[in-house]
This record gives sequence, C-alpha cells and structure tokens, in this order.
Amino acid sequence: MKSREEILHRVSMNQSLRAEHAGLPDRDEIRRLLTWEVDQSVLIERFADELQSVGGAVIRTTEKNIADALVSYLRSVGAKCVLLSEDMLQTWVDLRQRLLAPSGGRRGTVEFLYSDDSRSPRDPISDGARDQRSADTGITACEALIAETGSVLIKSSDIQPRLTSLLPERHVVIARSNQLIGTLWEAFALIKKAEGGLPAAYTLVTGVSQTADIEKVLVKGVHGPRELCVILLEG
Amino acid sequence: MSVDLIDIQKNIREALRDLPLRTAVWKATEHSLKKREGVVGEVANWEELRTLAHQIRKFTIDHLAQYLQEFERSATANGMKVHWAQDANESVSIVRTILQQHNAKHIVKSKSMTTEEIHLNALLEKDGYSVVETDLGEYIVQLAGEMPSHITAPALHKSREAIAELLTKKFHEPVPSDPALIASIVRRRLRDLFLSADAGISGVNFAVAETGTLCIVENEGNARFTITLPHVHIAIMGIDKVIPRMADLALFLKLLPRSATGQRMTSYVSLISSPRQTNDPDGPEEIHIIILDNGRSSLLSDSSLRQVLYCIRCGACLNTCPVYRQIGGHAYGWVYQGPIGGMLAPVMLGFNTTPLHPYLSSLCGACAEICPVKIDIHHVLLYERSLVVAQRRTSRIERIILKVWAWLMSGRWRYAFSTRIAQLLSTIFGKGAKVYLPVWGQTRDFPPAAKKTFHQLYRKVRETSGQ
Repeated sequence: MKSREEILHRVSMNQSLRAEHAGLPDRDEIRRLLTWEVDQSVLIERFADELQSVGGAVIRTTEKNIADALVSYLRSVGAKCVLLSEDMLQTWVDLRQRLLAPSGGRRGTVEFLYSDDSRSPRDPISDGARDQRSADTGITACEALIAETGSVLIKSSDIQPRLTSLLPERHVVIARSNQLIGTLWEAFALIKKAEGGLPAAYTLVTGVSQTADIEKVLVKGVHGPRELCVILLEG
Repeated sequence: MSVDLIDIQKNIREALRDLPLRTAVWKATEHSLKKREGVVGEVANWEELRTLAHQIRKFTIDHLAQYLQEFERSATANGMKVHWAQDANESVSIVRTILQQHNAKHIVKSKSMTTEEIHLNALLEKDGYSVVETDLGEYIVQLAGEMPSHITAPALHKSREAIAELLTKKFHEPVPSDPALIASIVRRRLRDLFLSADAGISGVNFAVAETGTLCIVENEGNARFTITLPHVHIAIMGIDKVIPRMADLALFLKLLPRSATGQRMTSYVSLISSPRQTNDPDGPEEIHIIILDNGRSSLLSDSSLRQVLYCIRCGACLNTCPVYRQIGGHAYGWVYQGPIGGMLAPVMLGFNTTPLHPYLSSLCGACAEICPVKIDIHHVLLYERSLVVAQRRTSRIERIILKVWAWLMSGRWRYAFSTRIAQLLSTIFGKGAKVYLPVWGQTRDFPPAAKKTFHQLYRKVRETSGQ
C-alpha cells in the first residue's frame, strides 16, 4: 500500500489548491446540452434510421405477432442454431409454443439452445451436448433503445449472458416500443437509477462489430456479430 | 523510465523519404477528418459541449486525489480489486503476481495505450507468457514487431499488400490482400484464443468515481471478449482516467467517438461495475484494476502542463496535425504520437531524451481547435520549448544566433542597419544563400529580402498622400 499513499500524496501536493474554480458543472447543465424534446412517434423513425445507418435492421411488429415475425425472420436469414434464454420463452408464451412445440414441422431445421444454461462456453464441451459456440444467432432482450444513436442498451444478469450478443454471427434484440428513449443522457440516467444496484456489465451496442484498421476500409463482423436486428413490439 | 535520446531528426528524414508511408498516412488522416466533420457539424452545440467537457476535466484533475479515492472506494465496494503502481515496473510486477496466482499463461489483450507505455507485452513475453493483442490493427502491428503508429488506428501506416504479405509469412498459409478476408481469417484464429485464454488485459477509457464503473469503448468486439471470457480481467488505467459521475459519461461519449473515428457512437461501449455476480452465467470471477502514475502526478505541479492530463486519447489532433500527416507516428519514436505525443514525451520520458518533441509542431493551432476537451495544445508545446531553452538544451550556435538576433532587433538603428545588410546580401547571393544555412536550407529556399523596407515604403506613401 506504500505506492497508494505515495501517489495520493504526490497528487494532493501537486494538484491545484487555489479556490478559483468555477466548480464542477452540475448535472442539469449537462442535461440541458444533451437532451431535447421529441415526440414519441418520431423516436421510432429516428431509431430505425440511425440503426440502419450503422448496419442494423428494425422489424416493427406487435406483441401478438412476435412469434410469426421472429420465425419468418429466422427463416429468411437461414438461421440454423439459435441461442435464447428460457426466461424469454416465459415472457412470450407464444414463442415457446411456436418455437419449441411446433406443429407440422414448423420448427424445421432450426435448433434452439438455452443461453442461460449454466454450462459456460469456455468450459469443455461434454460429449453429445451441442455447444453454444456453434450458434449462429443469439436473441436477447434489452433495457432501452436510444433513438439519437440507434443504440441498444443491454445488461448482464442471471438470465441474460453477455456472450449471447457476442458469440454468434447474428444478434437479434426483442424490444418494446416503450423502451425507446431519445438520448444518451436518458440512457445514463436510467443506468444511474438501476434497481438493485448496477449489474456486472452494461453493454451499449450500436450496430455490428466492425473495423477500419486496414486502409480505413470498413469491414463488418470482425470479432462479434456481422448482423444486428431489432424486433420492435409496438402497441 | 530512462531511454536513450530519441533521434527524431533521423526518424523524420527517413519518414519524409518514405513515399508509400506518407501517402498512407495522408489518405487515412484525410478520411478520418472528413468523417469527423460530418458528425461534428450536425451537433449544433458542439462548442458548448467542448467547453463543458473542459470544465469537467479541469475540475476533476484539480481534485484528482479526491476522485481517485472515491473511485477506489466504489470499485472495491463492488467487488473489484484496486492496485496502485508508481511506475512501469511496479505495474508489470502487479500483473505478474496476479497471473501467477491464477497460474495463467495465455493472455488476450485489448488495445490500450497505457500498456504500450509500460511495455507490458515485451516484459510478460520475456517471462514466458503468451500475450496476444486482439484488436485487428494492434494484432498486425504486434505480428510485425512494430509500435502502433496512431492512437486509435495502430496499423494506419501499413498497406493491405504489406499486411497480406506479413500474415502469409506468419500463418504459413496464403492470405489475400483483401481487408474483409484478412479480418475473417484473423477472426477465426483469435476466436479460439479467446475461448482458451486464462486472463484478459484491457485498458480503460473512463473510470466513473461515483459508481466504480469502468468504461471501455471499441468497435470490433475484441475488448468484450477480453473482459468477458477469461476468468480474470486486469484493467490498467492512468490516474488521469477518472471522471466524477455517470452523467459525465453521457457527455464524454458524445465527444469521444465523433472525435476519434467520426462515429456517432462506437459499436460497443462496455460499462463494467463488478465481477460476475452470483448467478450470472458468464463474466470474469475476478477484476483487478491497476491505477498507474508513471510520471503523471508530476505534471500536476505545473499549471501549464496540468491540462495535458485532460486528454481523453481520441487521436483527433494527430489527424489534423500538418506535421503528423507528413511523418506518421513512428517518427515520434515512442507510444504517443502527434501533438499529444509531442506534449507528453518530454514530461514523461524526460527532456534529455526528447528535447525536440515540442518542436514537432507548426504551432498552427489546428490541434487545439479540434481537441474535444479544449486542451490548448500548441501553447503547451510552445511552453515546453521555453523549458527546453531555459534548460540550455538548444545548441550553442542556436543560442548565439538568437542572442545576436535579439540584440539587432531591439535597437532602432541596429534594426535599420541589419535590414540594409540583409538586402545587400540577398542581392549578392540570391538563392545561393542556402550554402550558408546547411540544415535549414536543405529543404527550403531562403526568401529574398524585400527590395524596399517597410519604413521606406511608409515614408513614400506618406509623401504621395501629401501628409
């Protein structure tokens, strides 16, 4: 702990001690510069535009049609192995019936894995058990959608692993339209008053994994997902 | 850290002869500037945001001890372990101890300038650890055995052909010179490493004091892998990375991606507040934060240099600097380049090692104008030059010339006399004057003196206007 004391001592001795400071600008001043009044209906358009501009897509549907929307999306992109949490199936009962208790072979060739399985992808794979690593699509819920930047705010929890939105090449977010907020400021206000304290990790996802490290050429899907789709439930 | 004198004059001469390098740097910085212009132009109150960000950074640095302790308290309460390191050696030995405790041998790293600063990779590799950089550009630079040449775009100096050639040699398989294919080959290779790594090491973009949260900003997803998959996460941050509140993060995240890469937001921003919680299916079991001083606290005592610590490492000043754009990053001879690198070098490495770094600027002020936290960069560089002069580090001949110059310029008749002499010499030698200016004249023509002095012209104007 000697270093701690020495560093703090040096910092205290050297830092400015004069009382001329204007003070730390208060939160309201930051809020004033970062927020603006917007109509909720405009938010959806703005969010969709922003998300598209960073390589994502939005599918607008209703709670009632969630299963149809999801199944037809998964089919259209040719998903074969999908990660999702058991909790999501409890939230959207339709989804369970449609995905896991299919009638007439609707389930097709798609395999579903529980993302909140206690077996971590870094643990050795047991024989016969399909591993999460082979999933091509991960489905998550979210905390908020930010119109200003087209971002999706996700938090880690016991039912929401961080890797579901990272390992597979495709990330699908299921969100409700009342989760739409205008600005980054509101997102951080939301984080600040998170119930039950902060989660281990929040991830702000804006578009897909990308790099421009080689001659500034934009390449999508360098380590994380190459595709991002937000299924937005309205009404 | 003691380093031998960095011979930037030699570096610059070599860089200026390297046309492919200069083309690559010019094109890349032009691209970044254009992208930035688009997303900055659309923010009507950009200047107000900069001013506010400056105020917050100033207040934080003026009260740094308080905020560092608050951060330590919050992070510790969240279950993360906080370590303090005075210098590079101490920080590396802390890392080593943590790795030994976990018997960790294979380490994945996400991009961090602070770890470059302490030469972490080289030191760990010497001890037999395998350390792999996972940011694409940084991975390429590591395979090439080079230093990054830009704060946010480490391999900016390399062409796709050079990268393909390098990877073909390293991988023993043909790698095409297509950026997308290169990225997918690297993705495949690094994915396995992520899944088997024992520890992940990252830097930190912002450390929020009130909540004890680490903010890590990236585009590729490699940092997310690094801080999610391995059992242990070690985050290394300078003492200057702390910000007071979550609310401040909203502001800095509006400024940083726009300034750095011309994005409204980077693909991923991770806010890490604790290790994996009881029932979390993933995330590291342990998070260690190393708070590094390495000379930073000494900057605090100088009211002109203190503002260097406001820097949020966006790299915009590199992109806009007319000097960086000609010579690229390697000429600076150490980890930080461009105006920010020029400013930091003498104070972190010592004036005896880098006396010329503050001179790598035309003092045009483009850096100060673009800086999202309004650091008065070119004036800091000018101030550092005054320190170089005060420490008598300039050459004896330069000191004599400037003494004579000052003497000539500070007297009415001496001044008039010297301008006449200059005119005379100019007519006699013309462009041949370069003979008498060996270094300066190599790349410049000496401007001929005006035919008439200002005083002569002024007198004439007054006469003709009849006053």
